[in-house]
Amino acid sequence: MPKIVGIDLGTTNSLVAIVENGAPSVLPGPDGSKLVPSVIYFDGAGQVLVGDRAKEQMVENPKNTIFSIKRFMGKDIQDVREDLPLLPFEVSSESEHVIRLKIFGRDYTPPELSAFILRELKRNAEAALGDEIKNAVITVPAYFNDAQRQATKDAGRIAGLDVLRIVNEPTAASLAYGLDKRKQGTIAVYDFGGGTFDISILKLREGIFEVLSTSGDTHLGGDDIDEILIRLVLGDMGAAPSSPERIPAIRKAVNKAKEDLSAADSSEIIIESLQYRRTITRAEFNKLIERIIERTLKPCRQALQDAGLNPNELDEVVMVGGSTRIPLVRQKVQELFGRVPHTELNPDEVVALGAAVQADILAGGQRDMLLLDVTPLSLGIETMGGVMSKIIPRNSTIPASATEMFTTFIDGQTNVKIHVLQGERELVKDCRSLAQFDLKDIPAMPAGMPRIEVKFLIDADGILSVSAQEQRTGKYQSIEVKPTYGLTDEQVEQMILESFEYAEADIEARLVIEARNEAETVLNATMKGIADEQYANLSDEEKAEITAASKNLRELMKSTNHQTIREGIERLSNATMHLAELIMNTAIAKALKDKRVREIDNE
Amino acid sequence: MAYSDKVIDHYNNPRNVGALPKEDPNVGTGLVGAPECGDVMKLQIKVNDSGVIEDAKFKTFGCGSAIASSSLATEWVKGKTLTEALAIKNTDIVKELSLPPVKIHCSVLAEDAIKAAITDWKKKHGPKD
Amino acid sequence: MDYFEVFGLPRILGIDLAVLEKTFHELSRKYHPDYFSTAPPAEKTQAVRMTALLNDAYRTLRHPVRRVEYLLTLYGFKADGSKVPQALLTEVFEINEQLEEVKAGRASVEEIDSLRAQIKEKRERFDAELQEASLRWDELVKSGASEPARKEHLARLAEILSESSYIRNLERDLDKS
Repeated sequence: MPKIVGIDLGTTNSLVAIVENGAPSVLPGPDGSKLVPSVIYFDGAGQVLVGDRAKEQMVENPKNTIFSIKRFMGKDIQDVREDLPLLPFEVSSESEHVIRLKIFGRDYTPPELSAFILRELKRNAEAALGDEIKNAVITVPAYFNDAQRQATKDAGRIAGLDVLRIVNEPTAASLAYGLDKRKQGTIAVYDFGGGTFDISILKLREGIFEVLSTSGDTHLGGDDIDEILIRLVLGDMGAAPSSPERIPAIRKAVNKAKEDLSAADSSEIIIESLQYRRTITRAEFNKLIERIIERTLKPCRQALQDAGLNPNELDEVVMVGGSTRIPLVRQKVQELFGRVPHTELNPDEVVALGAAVQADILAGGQRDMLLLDVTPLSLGIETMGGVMSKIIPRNSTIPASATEMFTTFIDGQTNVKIHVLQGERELVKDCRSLAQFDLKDIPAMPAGMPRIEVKFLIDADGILSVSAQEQRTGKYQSIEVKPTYGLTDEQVEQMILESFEYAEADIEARLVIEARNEAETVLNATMKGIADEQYANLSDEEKAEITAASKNLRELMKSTNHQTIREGIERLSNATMHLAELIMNTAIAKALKDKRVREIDNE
Repeated sequence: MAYSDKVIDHYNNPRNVGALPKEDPNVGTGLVGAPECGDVMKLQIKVNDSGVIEDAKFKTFGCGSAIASSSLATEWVKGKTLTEALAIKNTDIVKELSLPPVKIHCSVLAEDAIKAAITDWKKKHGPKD
Repeated sequence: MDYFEVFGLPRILGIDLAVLEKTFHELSRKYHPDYFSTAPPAEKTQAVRMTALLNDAYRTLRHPVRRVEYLLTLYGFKADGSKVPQALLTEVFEINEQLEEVKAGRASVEEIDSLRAQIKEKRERFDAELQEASLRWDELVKSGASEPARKEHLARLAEILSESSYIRNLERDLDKS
């Protein structure tokens, strides 16, 4: 069984984890850090950096350092218009159906950009495990709609990963929470991250994790808190128009202050480059962010109502996501649920750990655990007068299906259009359009005669598929799907191809490969050197250092950082310097001697 | 789009919404409902001395097609005799509005409402008609 | 396979929810696609279909009203509006008019509360009626009652559903507004 990793593709940070010997653990990158900042830097010369090294570029190179790309997944330009003023990115004019960012003249979709992060995690996992990784479970916010889930799957494909399952983040967290202690009972998972908020209520019973209800907001997180603080700073700076170049420096400073305020009663926002400095107390901070926190409470009440539960019927409220470190968040949650929330889990890691547990279930390692998740949004079709008619209600356990009959209105009509939507509102215009399905090649019959059975199936990833069959002829209908948002299969294929080209141009990857090849050469040369008669002329210290440096380099070759490998190469080169000289000298002497012999011969 | 402009027009600009005095001897009131969706439809007619429907009003609580169907029904009955009005079939409404199959019951509701209003008027006027 | 068959149940309406849940979990462990991720594609697809059917069945059968609705569709019965008493329709129409006031924001808190209480009381009365009729159905099935007797009772169930659906819709509308 090939290894399957669990990936938390977060708004702010991303992690990769795996279950080994029955316990999940996060796999660190070459620098030992478990969190990979979800930041991608393009240098314009073909080099792309991901993670901490990309984050370092945010202030200096705001236009080509992309962050929080998760907020753009499955969206078009209209959806993100209000965020754009505070973001330094250039949006391509070709942003219908899918938003595209223009970076050095080339358009990138959110799945392509997310794929850079996934590739980095894949590389880290491969380096840590010494094995190729092809399969992954990726988490998404529970409240992600069909298009956002599909975009995440597309990102996986572009990164060369077979995404075996999309798992909801709070549900993944519950797996990690319930794993070791064999917990039973009813829990709420309050997941407040960098860009999204989810609440899920689950029943844990004999290894079955059954989601009863879920709710949330896919555009509500720590980023919104940062934005409030950014606006505060901009306000302080006066009416002067804020150039977008300033924002990253401000963002960095307010982010630090925000984090400080989780522990301290006051902090300072310091932006040296703008000669700005201001003290902010926790009380001031709380007042500013209260509105944001309040927005998380409505979904909580909705989830309780949908689960048919009162707060006192819950056994535990589990806190997940970096934003739950904020004291006011904990206070508000405690007030709403009437109990002290469970904050013992590492809010940054628990989702990735849970994803690894789900990966292990899929790999056949955990037969006794089973996750029964739900669809967060009702699925419906457009009927009369722009009204949405629900066919699969929200909080239905997935996979779930529904069957609807369709017919024709006009004699001989061979096409029927079906408009599929997701959402809770009554009017089509207030719901999210998923796709237009065109039932084609219906046998020509008088109006109302054809009976076309259309089956809607939401799979375990929460993604919709549709099949249709004409009942009188038994003929399967061909369906043409026009997704309202997102990429077509052809576009994804194209991006996979381009990503291969990109991988070739990916200098970091190439540098690692080159460094490894060079290390291989140096090690081989050393082996030959040791076999040479000159080796005997080295001191014991020299011999010991050659042995140690060889061993060291073999170890470092596993690294995905070319510089680390190069350091090893250099040590071994230094250690073998004297030996090389000795061998070289004798070789030269021998060559000269030979030459002389040949010259003599030729003469 | 699968739905005709007429439907959308009747939905957005329903005709003859309102009420006629229920106790007026010349007014017949029909009240019907569709249990599938919980729609209720009230359709009233005012009949003049020559047995012609001179006015019609409706009020419907329900989905767009129920509103469109009753709106169309009031338009059609106006100026018709009771016998002519009774001849209106739900299929006529379906055709006119191009109702999708899932909404055909709305047209049935409108037909039932016309019949119920006429029955009510007849009740007020004894068995003479 | 109908929903009752999925759970290995006869077509009865009195269902022990704890037993239903237990069976649901057992069957989930048997069919869930998570356990077929390395299986051949055909088996995988089958697991998704079977689990979808199981989930659809559980969603329908665990709910006392949806359960009756489903039973009726199995026998080709549809809720019939024409049999609903005029008095109920009049009442529903009046409540709808009050609801319109609530939606337009013209009703006082007291008015809304009183409307809510009125609707709730009616719904509870229908729930009790439906429960009683459901039990009666089970008795008919168990005693091997004749086809016409069963049909007659199904018609009665359809009637109760028709009447109560107006009230449930009103309650839902009020919750939304």
